[in-house]
Amino acid sequence: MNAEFLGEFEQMVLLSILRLGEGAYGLAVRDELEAVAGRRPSSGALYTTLERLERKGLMESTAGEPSDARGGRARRYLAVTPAGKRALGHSRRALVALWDGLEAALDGS
Amino acid sequence: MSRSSPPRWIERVLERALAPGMWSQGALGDLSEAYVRLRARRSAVLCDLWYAWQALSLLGHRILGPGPSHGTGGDLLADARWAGRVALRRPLTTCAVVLTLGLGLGANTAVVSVMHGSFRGASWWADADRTLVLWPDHEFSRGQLSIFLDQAPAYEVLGAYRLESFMIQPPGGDARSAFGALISPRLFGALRVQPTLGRGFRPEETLPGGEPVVVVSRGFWLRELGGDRSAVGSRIQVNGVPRTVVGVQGAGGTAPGHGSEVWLPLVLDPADPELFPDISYTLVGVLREGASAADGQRDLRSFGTSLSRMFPFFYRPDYLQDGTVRVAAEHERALLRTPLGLLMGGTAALLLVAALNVGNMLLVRAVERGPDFAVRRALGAGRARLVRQLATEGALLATLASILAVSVAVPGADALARLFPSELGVTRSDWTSPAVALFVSAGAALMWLVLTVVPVMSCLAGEERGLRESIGGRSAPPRALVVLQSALATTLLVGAALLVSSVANLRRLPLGFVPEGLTAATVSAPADLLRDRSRLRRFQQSLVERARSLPGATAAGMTSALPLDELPPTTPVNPRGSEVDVSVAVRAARFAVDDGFFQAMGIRLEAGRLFGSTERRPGPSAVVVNRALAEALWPGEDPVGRSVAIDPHAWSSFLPVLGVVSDMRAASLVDPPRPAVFVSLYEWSERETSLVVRSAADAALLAPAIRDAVRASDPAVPLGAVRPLSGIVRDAYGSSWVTMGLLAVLAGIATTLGALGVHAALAHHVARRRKEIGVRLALGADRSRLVRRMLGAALASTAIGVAIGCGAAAASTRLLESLLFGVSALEPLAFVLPAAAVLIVAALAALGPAARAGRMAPADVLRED
Repeated sequence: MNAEFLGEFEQMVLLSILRLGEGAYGLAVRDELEAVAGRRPSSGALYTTLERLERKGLMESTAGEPSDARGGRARRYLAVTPAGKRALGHSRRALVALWDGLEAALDGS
Repeated sequence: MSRSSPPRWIERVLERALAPGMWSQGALGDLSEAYVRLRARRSAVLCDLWYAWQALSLLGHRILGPGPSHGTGGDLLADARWAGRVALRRPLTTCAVVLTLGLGLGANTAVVSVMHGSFRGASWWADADRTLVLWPDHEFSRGQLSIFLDQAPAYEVLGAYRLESFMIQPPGGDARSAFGALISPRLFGALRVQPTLGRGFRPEETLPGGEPVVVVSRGFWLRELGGDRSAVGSRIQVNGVPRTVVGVQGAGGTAPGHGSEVWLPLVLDPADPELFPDISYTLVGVLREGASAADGQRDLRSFGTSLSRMFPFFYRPDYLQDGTVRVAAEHERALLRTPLGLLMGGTAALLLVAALNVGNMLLVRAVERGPDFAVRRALGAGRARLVRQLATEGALLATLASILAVSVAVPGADALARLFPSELGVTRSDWTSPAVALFVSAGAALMWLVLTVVPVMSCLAGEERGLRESIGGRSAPPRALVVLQSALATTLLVGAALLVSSVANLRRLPLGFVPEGLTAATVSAPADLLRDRSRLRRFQQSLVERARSLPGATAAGMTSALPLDELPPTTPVNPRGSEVDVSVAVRAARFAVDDGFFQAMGIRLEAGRLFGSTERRPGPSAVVVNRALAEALWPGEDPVGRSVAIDPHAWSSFLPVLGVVSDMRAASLVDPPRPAVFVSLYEWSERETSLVVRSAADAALLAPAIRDAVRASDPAVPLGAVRPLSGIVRDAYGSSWVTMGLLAVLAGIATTLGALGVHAALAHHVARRRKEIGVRLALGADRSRLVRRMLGAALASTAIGVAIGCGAAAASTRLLESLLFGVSALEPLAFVLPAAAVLIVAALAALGPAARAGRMAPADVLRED
């Protein structure tokens, strides 16, 4: 099914959430993307992607405690759902299969 | 430390714009937290900018939706390509949209640039807020200044200036006339631009017998003195007197007034007979530290009181009691406010009409593209995707229109600035100035918004209406559009009509002389010639004789002042037989003229006789008075044979009145003719005189002949400008002429656009109602009634618009009042004619589409689907 394949940015976001574990929330994901993948997504891109992932059921979120530094707003902690993990695995397998045997061709370029 | 949380207003905008929900709260919280973190390291401004950028990104994604793969670059390119294809598919509509918006924004940009350049141009004075113009629009004499200097405690600097043209002859160069100012040395020191080479004036240069000096402009120095530093100290002839160049003004120094090239110190010589009679100086003062404008005004009024005590013969007790002061910068701006404000209003209204037309075109196009969008939606294109597509199309059109606007505005602003008389100092601003750049960007952004929002709204509305409408649901004609356009066109037309009738009134005014066919040439007598009266007389008489024998010349004469050019000096005129009394003496403009002047000018003799050969000989002379002076001195009586004293220094020497001539408008076109007294040129040594020649030949052709005549009469006398008198009269119309022309053009364009708009709106309306009309006709509706109803609907909307337009015009013509002459700002005809014109144009525009609807064959229409 089409929805099972994830876009590049969706994969990166889901992987960052997994890497961060319990402390994953919007800003942390952003920092993780920047630190590990060297990518600085715009706020618009990040939050629309998060919203879409949740809508697809690949990720879920829970509200934390409000804090002053956040203007009295709560953090939304993020976790990848089993469906999300499946989708990641699916995408990874597809990519690895496609990559198979191409290392030499790429090295030669 | 300053604020460490994000700008509240942006947060509020975001809260409103993002759908309330957990994600907007989470995102806002994250942004807030990131802001605090960033704020620890960076300045508040930088953090705010970052936050604003993030907010834009959130909003952008919310409105447009993300690209399917975040490879936005490729998508954007695809969108742009598609937008290009759409634009090319309807080249006419595209051109119309780009041209209308581009020209509209371009015209507005040009006016904004000119307004900004003219208003924001630095004031003439260094300390513009403390510099006051005393009793603006009135003039003073040097004698008054010399008295006032001792009794003006509120002022640190007090001085006077007068703008005039001088005859300049640089060493080895030809004489030419140059614009400049006579100015008090200390006042010269208060100018914003000071000499960068050499020095300004010294206080002792105000005193008689001081060395004759001159300061020149940088342009003059570069052009006429070769830009040579050693030019300071050299001598140039100014009005025939050699003067030492002591300084060169820095770049931009052309004040007071605009375009001055030379400055001469104003000399206060107690022995000068013109010290008091020559009332032609503007008084300017710089307030002392701590003094207010009210203090300055108090000084001025108490000066008036002391003058009337000192010279009860000349000044009434209430002299200067209504004298006001005005901050200099304000005074400089006031001259421009009305014409430029009107122009701005006119171009803004034009842009609005243009935008309405474009909106209309876009609506039509959106309707045409409705099926296209419906198919795309059915195939799964998201709403956001379509919006983004339309936004890209809008951006393409807005970009093209902005490019056109800028390329029109650059030459347009220069041309506009040149249209105004140069002494108004209308200039365009620098194109890199932030205000103008901001205006263009805001205009472009607004265009983009309109070009996007209109089709988007129309598409979305179309979606909701669905098929309901295509089978003949009623749709109201785009009424608001017609109403607005006819309102704007009416307002502009009323303004133009008022100005046209005002200028027509000005043109109808009897000038008192016949400018057509008259050429004037200014000559300045050198100092040595001025001292030798008999030589001066011989020169003047020989010049006039030669001028009379020029080819085509029918008459020639000389005068000390040309009407409507420079203000002649005024003098108190006291009739014999009365006590020498201020209540009897009348101030009159004094013209020194020869015996040929009246005939050459075409001034009519009403009674008595003109100067003749008797007055050409030296000896006691006589005067000629105009009708206004005769009425003021001897109402209802015959003035011929009576006598008057006009010289305040020889109050008891009376001169007989030879004759009365009809009034001539000398000082201003608008004011009623003032009293004038004509004395014999040969009795008064005038430095600068003008030769007037009536000839069938063109002024340009006459110039070399006049030059030869002057040279033949006395090779040492420099000749100034040779101008047709009709040109001087045209200049006197001043900015009202220019404003009228521009407003008339704007109104014409607005009406044409309005007519196109009405036509397009109605055509669109008919196109949309084709089915309904077809069904009605099939059911037996009366064709002529149908046409009448459509016309009636269009005219009703137009009539509402015309009424609104008349109301708006009545409310805003107050602004015009200062430019109007002989016509009330509420002149009924100026409202009725434009209203009728707009209604007729609208009816004509509506006729085509209405007739088309009436000719429709119902069978064809119903068969279409």
